[in-house]
Amino acid sequence: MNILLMGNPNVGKSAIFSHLTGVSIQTSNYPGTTVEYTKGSMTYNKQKYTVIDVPGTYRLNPESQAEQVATSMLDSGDILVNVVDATNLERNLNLTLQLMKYKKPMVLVLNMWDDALRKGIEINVEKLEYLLKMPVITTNGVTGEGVELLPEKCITAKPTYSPEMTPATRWQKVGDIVGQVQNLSKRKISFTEKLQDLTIHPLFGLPLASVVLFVLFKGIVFAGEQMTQMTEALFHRYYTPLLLKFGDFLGKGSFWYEVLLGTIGKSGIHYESAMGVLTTGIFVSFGIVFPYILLFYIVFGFLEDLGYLPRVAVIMDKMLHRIGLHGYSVIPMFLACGCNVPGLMALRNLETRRERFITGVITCTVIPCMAQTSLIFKAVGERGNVYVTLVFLTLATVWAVLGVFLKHAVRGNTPTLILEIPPYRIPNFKNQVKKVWMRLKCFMKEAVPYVFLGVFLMNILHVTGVIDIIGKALSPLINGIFGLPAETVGALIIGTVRKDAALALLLPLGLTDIQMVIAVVVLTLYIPCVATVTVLFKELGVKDALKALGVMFITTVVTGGGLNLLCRIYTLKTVIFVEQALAFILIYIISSMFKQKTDEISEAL
Amino acid sequence: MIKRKSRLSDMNTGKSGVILSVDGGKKTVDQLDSIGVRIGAHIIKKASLAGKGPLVVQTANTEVAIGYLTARKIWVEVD
Repeated sequence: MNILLMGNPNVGKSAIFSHLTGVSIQTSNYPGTTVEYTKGSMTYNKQKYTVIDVPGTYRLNPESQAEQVATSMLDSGDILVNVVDATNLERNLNLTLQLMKYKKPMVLVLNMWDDALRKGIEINVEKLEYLLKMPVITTNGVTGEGVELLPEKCITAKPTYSPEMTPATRWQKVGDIVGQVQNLSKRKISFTEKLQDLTIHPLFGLPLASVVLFVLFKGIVFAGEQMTQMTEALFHRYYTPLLLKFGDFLGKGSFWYEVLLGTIGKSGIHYESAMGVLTTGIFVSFGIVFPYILLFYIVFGFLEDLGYLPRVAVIMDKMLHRIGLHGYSVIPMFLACGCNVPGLMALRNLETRRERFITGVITCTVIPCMAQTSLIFKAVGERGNVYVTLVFLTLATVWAVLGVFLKHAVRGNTPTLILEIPPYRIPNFKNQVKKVWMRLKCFMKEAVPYVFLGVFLMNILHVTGVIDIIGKALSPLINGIFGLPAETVGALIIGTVRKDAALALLLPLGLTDIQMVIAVVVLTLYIPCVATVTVLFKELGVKDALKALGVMFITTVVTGGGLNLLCRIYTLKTVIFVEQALAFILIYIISSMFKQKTDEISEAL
Repeated sequence: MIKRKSRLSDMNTGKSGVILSVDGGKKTVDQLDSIGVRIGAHIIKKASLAGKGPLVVQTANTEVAIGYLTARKIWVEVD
């Protein structure tokens, strides 16, 4: 027997699901966190029930892919649990009446009950049960309070029905119900409500967002650097002696010694350049990347649960329209800063193919995941801040130029923004810890094996001499266009498996400062890692994914070649200015070349 | 008191009113309707971003961001 958890986006369905089934899934404070359904099971009175967490929807004639999933699942449900935000009864009951036309047993869950009481909203539960002819319970999704009553209510629920209505009639009925059951009392405006208004303020919103994001980014980088120094010391103190003993056991010069430990000099293990699975492989994952990932997910999880991201979407909306997107695209891009895979999966919340394509291409091409970012700081940061500035400024320039190009080149429409903005909610500490742990587990399961595989493959290619053959074949591109030595081909090959492993391969190559900047930019822009490519095909389809990969390749050649050329002609500081001037000229040319045929869908409607 | 009819985009921030009509196509109207921005709904304009950026309205207990071009198609009887 299937129990479907349904409701508007961001009402706490996933939290209720976790408490019912014990299956941990991620929850956040913005609409569209769940883009795919999740199945779990619960046992009640010795009978097993399948519980399905369905992506949120406002209506049953949906536009986005995530909403389509919700609607298409309705037939498979035997019992419907309609999770409702108790602070927003009116809007949520609109969907309740739509669900009632399916004549299925239903239970109404008034979630966020504690929030409602705090906001002075009183709801007469008995009267609501009577009017809707279904059981109604009150819950707190974060703590799980009240969820224990749900299984019994599900089993005893009877089919309920409401006829098909026009939207106007339905709203009138909702208004009648709310008028009878809800009582609002006046109260003072809280601090979080004042903060809500400030963060979308026309004057202060954007500067505040810039300051907040800059401080958080700098904070992550600073703390990450301190932590990597600490982890490196720990590696040398505790891990090195173990590896040296293991090396003695394997025998220096043996095949497995080379593959597992790599090159170990007389001065000891140099983790960045040894190139063994157990030396560089482990060190890249846990010594360099892990601290940054941990810090990023702590900060990002806090912003997610607080409800800040939809506000950034509003503030950035105007700017994103210049590249054919609207504000909500900020959320996939933000997610991609941690890992590109969840970023791409969040594309499902975007309505049109055009938005999904542009956001997908920009996300995969320009936005480095946190593992990459940490290696960028390791590889370039040590050489001076000006090089880090050049790398990130180049990526930002590509973001703008590529975005303007795609806006004009990709046919279709971009709808204007219509987005619910959730209230600020103080993140729950337990929930935060659980979320960070889930993401770290995912990193260890999904990313670390690929780093090992990358380093292992590199060793095999090196030992068999394949790397030299490919290096010679690609010499015109790598040496001729990018100005990089042939040895960087190894990093480019491994980059298709895992980008952080590839960036680590650059460390021992003895590249000049400029070469390192070009190599890092090229590695960031060109074909994403294997996990991202797989999801790209799944989300965009074969045809669009191939087009996306083509765009990425051309972007890489143009940017890498252009940067190489500029660095040969100008001094480093001049390059930064010339690059920006060229970007403006390019954007102007692109905008003039294409007649703007498509933009806001509202104009056409 | 005479009430004034205005586009949502032209309404001053902080003002409230009742939505009289939405001129957009069916898709936009449906999308706004499902989120609570519908004919007859009482709204408060909370913010409006510069340079024809989106604006934020509150209806019932929901805050909704609406793109400028869509907001131009929503007519409100200002309180």
